[in-house]
Amino acid sequence: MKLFINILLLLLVKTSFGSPLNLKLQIKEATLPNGLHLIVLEDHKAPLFSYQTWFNVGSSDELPGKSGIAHFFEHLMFSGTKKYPLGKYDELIEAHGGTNNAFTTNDVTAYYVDISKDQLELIVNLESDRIHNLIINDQIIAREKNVVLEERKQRLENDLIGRANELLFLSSFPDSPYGIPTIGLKKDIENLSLKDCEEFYRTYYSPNNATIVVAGDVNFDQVLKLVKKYYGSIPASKIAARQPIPITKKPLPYVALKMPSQGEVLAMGYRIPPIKEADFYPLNLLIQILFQGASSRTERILIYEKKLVTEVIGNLTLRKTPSLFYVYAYPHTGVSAKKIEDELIEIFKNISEKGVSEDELNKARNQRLSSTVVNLRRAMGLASNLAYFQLMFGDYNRLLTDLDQYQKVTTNDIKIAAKKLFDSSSMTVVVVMPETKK
Amino acid sequence: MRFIANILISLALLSCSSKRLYDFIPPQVHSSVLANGLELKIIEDHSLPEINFLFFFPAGEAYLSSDQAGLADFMTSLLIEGGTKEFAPREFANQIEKLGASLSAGANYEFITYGGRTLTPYLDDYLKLFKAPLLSATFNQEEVDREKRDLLSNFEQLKDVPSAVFQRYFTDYLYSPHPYGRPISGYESTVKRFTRDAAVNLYKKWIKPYGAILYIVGDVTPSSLIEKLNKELFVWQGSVSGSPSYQQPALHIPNSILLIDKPDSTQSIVAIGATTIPATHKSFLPLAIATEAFGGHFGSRLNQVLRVEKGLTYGANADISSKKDLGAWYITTSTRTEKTVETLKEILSLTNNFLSKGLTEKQLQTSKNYLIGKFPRDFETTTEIAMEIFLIDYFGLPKDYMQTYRPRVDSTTNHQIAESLENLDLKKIVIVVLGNAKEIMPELTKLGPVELKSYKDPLTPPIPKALFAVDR
Repeated sequence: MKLFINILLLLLVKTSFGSPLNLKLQIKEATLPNGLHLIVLEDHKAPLFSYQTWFNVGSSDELPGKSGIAHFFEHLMFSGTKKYPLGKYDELIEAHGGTNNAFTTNDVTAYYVDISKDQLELIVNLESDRIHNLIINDQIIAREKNVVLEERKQRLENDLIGRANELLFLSSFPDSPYGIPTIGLKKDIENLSLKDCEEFYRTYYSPNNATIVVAGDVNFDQVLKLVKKYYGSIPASKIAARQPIPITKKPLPYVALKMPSQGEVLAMGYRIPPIKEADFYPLNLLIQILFQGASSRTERILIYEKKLVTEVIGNLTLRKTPSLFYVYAYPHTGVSAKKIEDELIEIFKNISEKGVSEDELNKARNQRLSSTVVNLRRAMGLASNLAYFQLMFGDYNRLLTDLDQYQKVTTNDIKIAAKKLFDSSSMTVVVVMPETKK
Repeated sequence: MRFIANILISLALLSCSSKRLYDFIPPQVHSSVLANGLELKIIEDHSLPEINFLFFFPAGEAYLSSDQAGLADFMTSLLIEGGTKEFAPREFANQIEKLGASLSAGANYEFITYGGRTLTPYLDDYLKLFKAPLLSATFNQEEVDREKRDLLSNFEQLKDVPSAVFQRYFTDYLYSPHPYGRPISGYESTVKRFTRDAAVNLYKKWIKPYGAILYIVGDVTPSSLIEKLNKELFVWQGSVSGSPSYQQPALHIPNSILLIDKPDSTQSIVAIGATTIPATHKSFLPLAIATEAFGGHFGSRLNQVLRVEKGLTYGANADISSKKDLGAWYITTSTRTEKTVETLKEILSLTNNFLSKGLTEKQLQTSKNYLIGKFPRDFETTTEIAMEIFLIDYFGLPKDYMQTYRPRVDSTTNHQIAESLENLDLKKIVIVVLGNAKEIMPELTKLGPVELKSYKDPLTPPIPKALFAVDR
């Protein structure tokens, strides 16, 4: 079955694209003297492009007491410059039918614009301007603090799962920056100063810390010419290499979160090593086998066979720093979180001892292949996937070459990965329960 | 010389903008009808080895009485999960997922969807699975019981999700007893009464080929696919039956406020809204353009004031829903508890200003440019393409809609905008707030009469009146 799939796709691709198993993507790259890395994927399917700037800075770069600054600064990047004052950036992009946004993770801060193909120079101009000429002052900082604190309320404090998630990470990495949410702790956000922000900007928002990925109806030579024109004179900065911080404490095994809730909710986490040390391919397939779809192990057993939960979700947060595999489960009315915890541990034990079947493995591979094809559809998906692989692994080609690696994973690889992952000494359980429960 | 230069520049700009209006090439639709009466719309796209299928059946929640609320959604869940003659429930899911494919179904107020996607090499295997629920869904009793229990537990769990509680209350307050006011998943009281027979009866009435349309977008050749579908579906016969029934929404006292108390809230969710024209009305496009300008994107006036200038919220948004009967125009945002009333006052003031003064020429042009520029992005994925073409059929829009949309947006005038705003009446606007009532109430009552509910109170269906079809 595996060989059959490969040959068919190969034949299919040959007639349409004329290249190896994976679809031929026209990608070119260049690095400027100031260290700016440019990757361009030409895809002329639709008259638009996605322009993304990924900075190699995230919450794992934050100093003690300054949690949330990476995300806060993401907000500040929209404050305006002398050339394009506050509001002008959005006005210009939206006036040409574009949309834009940004996000921050533990490892990166990314900015993206999706817009029609005739606006390339505008975007290069806008993006290069704010990387170097941003205006920030106390008034802007005070205003954005309010906004970020509202965002924190919306995502974490006023949301049951948000609060459980924050507690899960804090308990999985006690007294460690790796447990602090990317948005930061409330007191740290409140205490951020202009000096903190200016220093952060000068250090991390420099061309040698940035990768620009452009995907869509563009021409590489044209992009390169514009990028040289607008970014070429921006100087590089000195950035100290990210130092791993030793984790000194074991995870808290059990935490109860009492809050107004109708029933119990279970959150479990298992610590995992940084992304480059983790069993990346077997782990990803393992998660699919456990959680993806109605026939996955956890859904089949917990939702359909034993009818204990309405929903169960699991995933990996793969970071360059130590990270977490997490599970959330929503028990039926009258079913305790403890019961679900026991059932999940049994499922994990089973897979660690007995492994998975060839059928399950092939299914997971097909699901992965299918999701890769979905990622190739949009300019935005193409650009962000290329950027992800480049910044996390130093190799954007992995968007497609990973498919070959998944083909090489065996059932034994998955069993070994499961055994390493489901180590009870690296586990934390958070149970959300009604305030009235004893 | 300058005069001529200005003309030339203007002509250059005009030609650029004209080119931009017409540089989008809409997908070509191949229409056909199968032997059993099923209408097909096929769009070839060989850029990637995937195929997307999307069925629309003309039936849904609005075709049911309020005491059956949620039954359409219940039936569609069991269409996939309830098993078929060939496959037990879990085995069916496994067969689909083994291909890396997907299949799902859902209900809306006037249409049922059924569809999914597969990779090209698996097309034949997928079609055999795809047809199974259509021809021989079994609605396994154990799955019926499980689905009911899941829904009832879910109603309890959703009480812990402020946005979900808010959405149910807001829609109910805006529309009820019109069917658009009902949650698609129904009410606790209606779901408790669902039976297997009721679901099967709906299935037999609605999941039929004649009257339905199947949209297929992707790596296919029409002639070959039509042959396969005729072969797989020829035994499937019959017509979709039924029609929607609508009622007028209840009138509320002007300026009255529904406050949903959630004592542990640190933030309030605030919305105002009013029912308005359907998507087929001649003023709908100008109203959509105006709404986009007012609060549809980050740089719009609403968000600029509430978030950027005053730091009251993480984001505020105005929108208008496209509906066949009554549309809805609304603004939503969240803010910290102590700023609830200030935020609400600001929203009402901005809305009043918008309705009375309309848009400046600059705001209008920005909005038009935004909608024109973003249009091609609505056609990037196979699902989006299928949906766009479905919406043209669903709303009975002209066949050249995709080609003429952008020129029509471009030619919209402020006079048309002003006319469209007459379809919004500030006196009919409803206000709904979810938050800590103890903190909010004293200031809130100064704005108008407040009706108080608890987030724990279950919503109940409106009492069915004598239903009548409303002429629009």
